[in-house]
Amino acid sequence: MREPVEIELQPLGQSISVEPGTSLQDVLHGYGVEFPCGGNGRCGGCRIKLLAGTLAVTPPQAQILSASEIEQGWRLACHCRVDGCLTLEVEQWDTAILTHHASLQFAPRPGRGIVVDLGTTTLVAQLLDLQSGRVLAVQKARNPQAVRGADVMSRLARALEPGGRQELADLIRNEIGALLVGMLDSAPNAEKAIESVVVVGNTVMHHLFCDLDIESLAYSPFDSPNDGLQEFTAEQLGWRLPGSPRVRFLPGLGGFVGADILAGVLATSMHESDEVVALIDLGTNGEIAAGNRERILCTSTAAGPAFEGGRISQGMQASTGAIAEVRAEGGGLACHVIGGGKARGVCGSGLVDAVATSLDMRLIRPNGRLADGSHSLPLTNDICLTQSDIRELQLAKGAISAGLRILLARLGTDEEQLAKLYLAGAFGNYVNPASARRIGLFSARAERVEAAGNTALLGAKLALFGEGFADMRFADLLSRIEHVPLATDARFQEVFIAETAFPGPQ
Amino acid sequence: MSDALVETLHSSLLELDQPKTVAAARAICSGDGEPSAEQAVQALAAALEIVGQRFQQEDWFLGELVYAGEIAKQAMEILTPHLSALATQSSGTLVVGTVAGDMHDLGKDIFITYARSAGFEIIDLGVNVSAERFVEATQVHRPLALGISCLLTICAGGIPQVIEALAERRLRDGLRVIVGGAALTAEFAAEAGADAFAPDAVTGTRVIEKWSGV
Ligand code: B12
Repeated sequence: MREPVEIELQPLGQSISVEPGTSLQDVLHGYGVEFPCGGNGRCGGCRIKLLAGTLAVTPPQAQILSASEIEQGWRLACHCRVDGCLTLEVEQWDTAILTHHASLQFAPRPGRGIVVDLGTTTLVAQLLDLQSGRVLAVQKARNPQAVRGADVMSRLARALEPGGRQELADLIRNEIGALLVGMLDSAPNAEKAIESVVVVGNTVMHHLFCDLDIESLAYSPFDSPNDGLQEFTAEQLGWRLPGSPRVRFLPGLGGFVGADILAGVLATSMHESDEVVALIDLGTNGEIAAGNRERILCTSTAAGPAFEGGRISQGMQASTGAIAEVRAEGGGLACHVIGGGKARGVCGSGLVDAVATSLDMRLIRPNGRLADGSHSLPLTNDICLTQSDIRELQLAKGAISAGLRILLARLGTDEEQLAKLYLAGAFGNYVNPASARRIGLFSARAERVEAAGNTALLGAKLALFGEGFADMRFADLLSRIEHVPLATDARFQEVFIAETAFPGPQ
Repeated sequence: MSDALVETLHSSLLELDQPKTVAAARAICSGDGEPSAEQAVQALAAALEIVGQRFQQEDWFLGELVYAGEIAKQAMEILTPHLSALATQSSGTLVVGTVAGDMHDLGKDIFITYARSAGFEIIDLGVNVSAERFVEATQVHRPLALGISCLLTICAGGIPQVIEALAERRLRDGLRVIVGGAALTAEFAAEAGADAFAPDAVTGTRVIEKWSGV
């Protein structure tokens, strides 16, 4: 066995010791680096810059990166293996994001701030230098409430039980408190004051974190009258942070559309766009926002968990062993398995790819029926899609595309005219947009569809840095955003049913 | 010729050919009473039976199910005025609604379309229906059965509440309760005190037909 090698991560200044031959993706994933396309060398989202040491340029990297970028030391982390000691800069952590937002009044100020993306499944926190905009530390954890149910509805059910609300609030507050302390300890100057903490998350996470009444969210009318900005002192939350910063959970947009989507609006600059653009968070709740600087509409479509592999007979999360990509090869279907080993199941992107490819190969008819009249479509020797799996996908896809169509119609436009369609959420960044388009999840032109990364975290950072957002109430912006409850939309049924079908041969 | 019309009605519904189905229904009504409107209604019912099988066998999905129901409804509207008094007699009245707290109505509406085509009179209470309103409607309409839909797990507890409220007012005896919707299972339905659970609208229609003895 060879000696371990050292990787130094900039700008965190952190050192990690790893076995030679380890993939950089495995190492960096643990440090909160995202792999938007699932590490397939497709998106370039995991770009790193080599400051010292060597990393081989594999063919997929040469395709995505230009010769001069390679010359400057840029690589794709997902396609690198560690052979010797390295010093790296992770692009995701840099200020680049802020400079993309020309209109953002980035007012450098002394001090440090923290942003937290409170997801139903995962928590991500970043420590930021408010002067330089740089990420000083990153920390990730699982949402400990998951022991009380995987999805937001089961969390609500738990919160309605005696003592449940308190338990869920304590669980999440304690976990984030510990996460932040751990994050400060991992960076230099742990005792330096924190000026401000910004938290974003969906409406249920908001209510459970802030310990608010959830009756109106759990039952009809599924309203969230209390989804405005919530402010706490660190002490109130039991967090021991230097400088006793204020902690703010950003406001939601109404109904099940939360602060994470407000952050998404900021991250995509929808609120400043002249043309109408849209953002879809492809998770269980399937939130959509669409509009421009004048008016924004938002809704949640309740797509269900199919995109996350839920309610799919051999479905699984996008992790090792999942079929994440399917394409036509030699008259059959060829699968790519995450980690390269034996397939254990199929994740959302694999499901969408498999159905898209099968539609092209006429193995599946536009009405979703397997063309050979059978009830299963083998992907590998052990893994197959059943007819009911395809039906689940049709429901999820139908809900989202119907929601998008209805919002755009209310704005007096349609997908053809959409200037940009941003995909957010883990699955949104994973799915092959061409396949998503093929199954009719959207019809916007391919070149206008963009995987937007973690827009919740990005938007939270913009809120933290932006000068105009000092009070973080977003009163002006919120007055231009309207929540559309689809349950009372007269057209939803009809459009939804029509959208459960797949587009015909192309 | 006449049998051919009934045959056309039957096959064009199964081909989801709306103009042809409607034209066949009109032709039957403007004919000499041979074939009769009653025969036509029977043919439609037989075709819907097959629609149900296709849905259960996963050959067809929501689009076809809803569209076939819609075409059958249009054909029924044409045929009904031509039915004899005996044949227009309702197979029974049903009170249908989505449980309190829940506003999903697609599945409930599909069930209603199929139950209506089978000759049932439907009192549709809509969505988010409280136990109190189910009880009131039962008192007023004295239905053969109550149909309750539920898509949200968190609202499923509303179903035993309806059934208890009915029992308290002594309305439960002689009344049947059928429940459906993606949040429910046969076990849950039995535990909640319902008489039947329907995994889909067509099965539900079969069940109430059995109850009404048609
Ligand atoms: C469409 C949809 C909506 C639409 C509803 C539109 C409408 N007018 O009905 C909209 C977008 C408004 C919506 C909103 C919500 N939804 Co919703 N929705 C769905 C979705 C995508 C499909 C449901 C559907 O219509 N299926 C098709 C119908 C035809 O099926 P069905 O109802 O089961 O009916 C069949 C049978 O069950 C039977 N049947 C049904 N009822 C009855 C009754 C009788 C008497 C009989 C005999 C038979 C019968 O017949 C039908 C045909 O055979 C599912 C997700 C999914 N992938 O399934 C989520 C889902 C049902 N929704 C869910 C949730 C949580 C919500 C929201 C609370 C959250 C949100 N994100 O906004 C809101 C609340 C809405 C409200 N106010 O009640 C969850 C429920 C989770 C759970 N188990 O509790 C689901 C499963 C999605 C998820 N998150 O996983 N939703």
